[in-house]
Amino acid sequence: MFELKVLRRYEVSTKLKLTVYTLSFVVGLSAFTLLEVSYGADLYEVISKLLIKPLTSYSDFQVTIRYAIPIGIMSLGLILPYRSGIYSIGAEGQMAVGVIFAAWTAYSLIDLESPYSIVVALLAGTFGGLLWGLIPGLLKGLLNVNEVLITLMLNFTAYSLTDYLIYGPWRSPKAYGFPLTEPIPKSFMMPSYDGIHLTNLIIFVLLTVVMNTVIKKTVLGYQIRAYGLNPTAAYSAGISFLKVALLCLAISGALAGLAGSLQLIAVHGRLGPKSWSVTEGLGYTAIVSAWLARLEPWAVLPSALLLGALVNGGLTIKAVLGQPEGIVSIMNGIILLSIISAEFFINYRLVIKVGR
Amino acid sequence: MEVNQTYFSLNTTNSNHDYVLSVRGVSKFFGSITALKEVDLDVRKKEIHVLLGENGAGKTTLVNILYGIYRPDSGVINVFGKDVRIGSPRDAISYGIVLVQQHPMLIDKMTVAENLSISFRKLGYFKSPKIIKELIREYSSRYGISVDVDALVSNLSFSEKQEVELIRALLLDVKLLILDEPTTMLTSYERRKLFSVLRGLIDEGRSVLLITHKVVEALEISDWITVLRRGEVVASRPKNAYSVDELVKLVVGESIRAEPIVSEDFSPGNSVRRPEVLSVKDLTVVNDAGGIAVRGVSLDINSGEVVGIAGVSGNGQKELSEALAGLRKVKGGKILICGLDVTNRGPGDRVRAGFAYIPEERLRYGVIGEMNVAENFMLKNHKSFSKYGLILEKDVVESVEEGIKAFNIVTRGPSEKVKALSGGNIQKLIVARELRSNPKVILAHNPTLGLDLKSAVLVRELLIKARSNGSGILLISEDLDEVLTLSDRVVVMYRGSIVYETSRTTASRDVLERAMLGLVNV
Amino acid sequence: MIDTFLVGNFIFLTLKNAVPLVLASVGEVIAERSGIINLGVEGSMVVGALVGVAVTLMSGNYLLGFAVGGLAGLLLASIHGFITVVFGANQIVSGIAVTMTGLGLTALLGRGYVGRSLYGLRPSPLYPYDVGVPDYLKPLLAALVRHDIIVYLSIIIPLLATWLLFKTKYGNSVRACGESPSVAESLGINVILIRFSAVLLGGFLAGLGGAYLSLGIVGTWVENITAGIGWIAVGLVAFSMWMPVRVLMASYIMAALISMSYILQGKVGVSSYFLAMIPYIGTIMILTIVNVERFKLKLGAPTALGRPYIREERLG
Repeated sequence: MFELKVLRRYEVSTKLKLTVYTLSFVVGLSAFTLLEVSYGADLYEVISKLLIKPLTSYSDFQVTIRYAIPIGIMSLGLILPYRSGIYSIGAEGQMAVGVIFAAWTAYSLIDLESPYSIVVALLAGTFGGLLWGLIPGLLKGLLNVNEVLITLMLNFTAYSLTDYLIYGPWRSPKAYGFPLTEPIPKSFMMPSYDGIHLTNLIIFVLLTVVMNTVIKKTVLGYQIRAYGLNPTAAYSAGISFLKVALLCLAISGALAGLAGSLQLIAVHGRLGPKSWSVTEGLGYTAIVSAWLARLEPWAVLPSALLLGALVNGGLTIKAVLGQPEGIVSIMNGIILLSIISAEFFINYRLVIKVGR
Repeated sequence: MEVNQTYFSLNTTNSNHDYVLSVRGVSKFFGSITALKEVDLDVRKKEIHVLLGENGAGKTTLVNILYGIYRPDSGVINVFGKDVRIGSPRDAISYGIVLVQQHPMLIDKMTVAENLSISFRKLGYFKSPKIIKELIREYSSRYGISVDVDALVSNLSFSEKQEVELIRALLLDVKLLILDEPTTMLTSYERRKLFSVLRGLIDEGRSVLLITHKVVEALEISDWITVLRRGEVVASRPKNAYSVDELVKLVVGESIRAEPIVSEDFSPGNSVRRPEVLSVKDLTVVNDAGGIAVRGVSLDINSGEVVGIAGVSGNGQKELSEALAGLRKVKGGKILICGLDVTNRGPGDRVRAGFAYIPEERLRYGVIGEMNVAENFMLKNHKSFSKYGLILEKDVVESVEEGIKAFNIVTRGPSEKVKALSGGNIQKLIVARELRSNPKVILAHNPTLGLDLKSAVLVRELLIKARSNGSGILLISEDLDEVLTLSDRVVVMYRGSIVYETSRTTASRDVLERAMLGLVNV
Repeated sequence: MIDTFLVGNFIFLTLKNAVPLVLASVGEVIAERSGIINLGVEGSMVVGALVGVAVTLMSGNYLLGFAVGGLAGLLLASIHGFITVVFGANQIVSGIAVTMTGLGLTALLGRGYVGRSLYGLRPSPLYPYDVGVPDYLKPLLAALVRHDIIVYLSIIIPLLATWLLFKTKYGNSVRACGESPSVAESLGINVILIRFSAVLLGGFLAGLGGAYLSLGIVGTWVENITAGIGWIAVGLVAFSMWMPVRVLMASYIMAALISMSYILQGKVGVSSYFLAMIPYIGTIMILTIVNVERFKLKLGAPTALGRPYIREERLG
């Protein structure tokens, strides 16, 4: 005879939260490692390639940062809707549209000199993401349409739009038959310093500070949190849901568009399909990063870095072991599952009584 | 001390086999709060045992333990001479214990038969619940209860729902029926009917444990009374061994007298015509199940006036208050606040027009439990605490600390999470927030439901104070006494309509109660 | 003169394309009726699709592949069930995570099956003939009768689900959990068991739908074969107001849109990439239309949908 009691914790210490979170992350990562090992990989190799090298070897670290920046910027954006109880999974599509807008600017304003060219491309990309975010924002705010499905459908639509461009009007005749676009003009490319895009990094860090202030110190942040924690009370207190939904989804779309255009003008320089694409599924990884940060803007800095490393490591494993794209997706899924399960162990205590 | 003697003498009479239920030394803690401390309780066969105590005395906690919703931190529960572990309502039911909770535990969107089929254990999972209808009919005729098996639960009145729960208990062959505050929302006629059904159950050899905070009721129905105060049993004796005064003292302790308040500045029937602050014209509202819940209600509330809406719960009060607060769409009619048409506009416009809302479901509509006291305090007017979109924390904290003092809110400070506060303090916080901006209209729905006496008294005082400051108050309450003590005018709501209206001076309790049952010609 | 061949082809495709939608949507209706939103449908489908192909190739029996595909979908849904029902975790995030896992897993494990031919192993029409009608009507008749057994079964499934949900004690219990888990618990229901079983049942049906997608429609395993069908199926649940029978109608509307995007290829002067958007934009529009009449939506939606239930010990 044993009895299992579920007890709510009344005081939750930061130490406990941190411990449970770290543990759950480790559990998730171990599950993934186990999967890889059972699939024939060497345990040591997996751990080294997945986590150690991307964070310790300088050349790998450059790539890690390259992934961490867009993941982080998009996570910062996603935190707004998540905090207000709106579950957008549209960062991927918003990023893709941002890329299209930025590339279109570059192709049509070839003669523009830098640095104006870069600013214009970034603004255009941000605007594109914002537009793509406004659609679910309006539908959610006005009619309370299911935002999960709308944003996802818009991701698929954005993919189709990209496909249309790279297989159609933008396809480069010089790409040996590959569905790639022309490289964007040199004047639109962001300079890098020793392989690290310092400007991008600075933008990311600045945005972290800004979003942290928005969430914690501003009226908007307060209204967002109110909706997330008790929508009925927030509504009956007279806070406008349309305003909250619209702003949350528009800002998160804008940041995804910004991340996309930064990725285009700093890293890729052209559009392509699947593994050559600018988005690379990072919009989905950003969801994991946002939850790993427990929806705390400042915590996006470490969580984006960690996920940047994991994406980088996952892709290395993929290349070395000849595995398909899906590898990053599994990793994302398993880690996300373990993080949200952690919430239970933070809020509740299990007591097992043996005997009577 | 006399109290302690009773307590010990009970301890010595152990393991009597006439006991249906015997509880020994049960304690329960919630974090640092002690809800129950070493509670003993014995219920005998064929007995109506009343558990008497104030709100917050621990009655509901004890009941929840007996029904397997909570588990005790220590102590033994013995049912029919056997020590048992009640881990879930299913366990409780298998020992013959059935609980009828204060709010009907039925699924609104399902029919009576469907509801009852769920808890009927003898029915296989993939069997049709049809068979159950016969049984229901049989029981209803045997106990003089009339229930339409195919009716949607949302269309039933409160007392009908209670009857469905009684039938459920009978279907489960209840040995010990526990009723938690069953009469709060019943009229005296319905209460008498319930008591006669309970007597019938006793005659068949079943037992009843009835939980109440009303001393008079305890004396009316019980065979034995156990008094609970602040989580401890302070007396347990046969009914005849108590005097009324003594019983009252045992329930409330020495601290305050149970006495409804009427402040001195309460002067009903002010003849001066004051401006209208809330005007409701021919309002029609639909409930969640699509039926009409409020039909053609018209009301005018003047500044400095309290209008009380009396009525049995479930006659459209919930829908009316939600429609007035802008939380529910209006099907027909108009709502004007200080002459401004706010029909089918959101709560934001109402708040700006000077509307304050003290909701019935305070945890759902009134506060954000996961936010702290300060953040909840500024919920309605956070913009006045901000500059350039930034929140001025210092201003907030100052203002909150003032409010905490002025309204006597017991909290560890502005940064304590609201979910950690007691019901009474949460309500004081809501009232403090809503009254802060000197509202033109206040809608208060069951403002003292579930509060301890002290808080209830304070909340009522605050409402009267707001009235003398010129607010017009619409009080919707299921507690007729509350309506009668606070209102200048009383209207009665029955099946969504206003069926009776009177001023406070001419109000008669008897006529009002009849009106609440629809027994009135308007 | 109507081009009966074209119309016949359109009807034929619509009936076929509706099968995965019907199965997955009915499954989601059952899960949501118990109060659990399962956004892992896409994941369960894609897993079912791969396992369906794998088992059919191994056993040579597509019915077995179909059934095991369903079980695979159930297995994946059990992760979601455990995390949301037992741990009370965020249902939306959990569903997304489950779908990510499912998509990734199948990409990894399915590589050996990409493009493998199922020649002779795919579901075959029950009645392959169309005698006795004039030639120009043959395509129309064929569109209705030349289907495999699963197409016809999929029409019965919503009826069965209606019976289960509204005419049995199990169904009443499921709906009770979806309306108010705390009331259900005090009525003596094991909420965790009922909700978990409903999620599993939903996952099973989604797995079946996925298996039909690979076995019956595409005819082979392709990475990411579902391409959003699972998500669309979730969208149809609200459109059907949580009524299994209405799912049938909703699925045919959606399947018609999907079939249209095939049929129109090469026939109109629009790029196929834009035609591919039709189902996605169609879903957005359907969801929007449903929400314009939000009041009706509120009538159908389970009250406690998405709300976790943990039998915790708390302050009264």
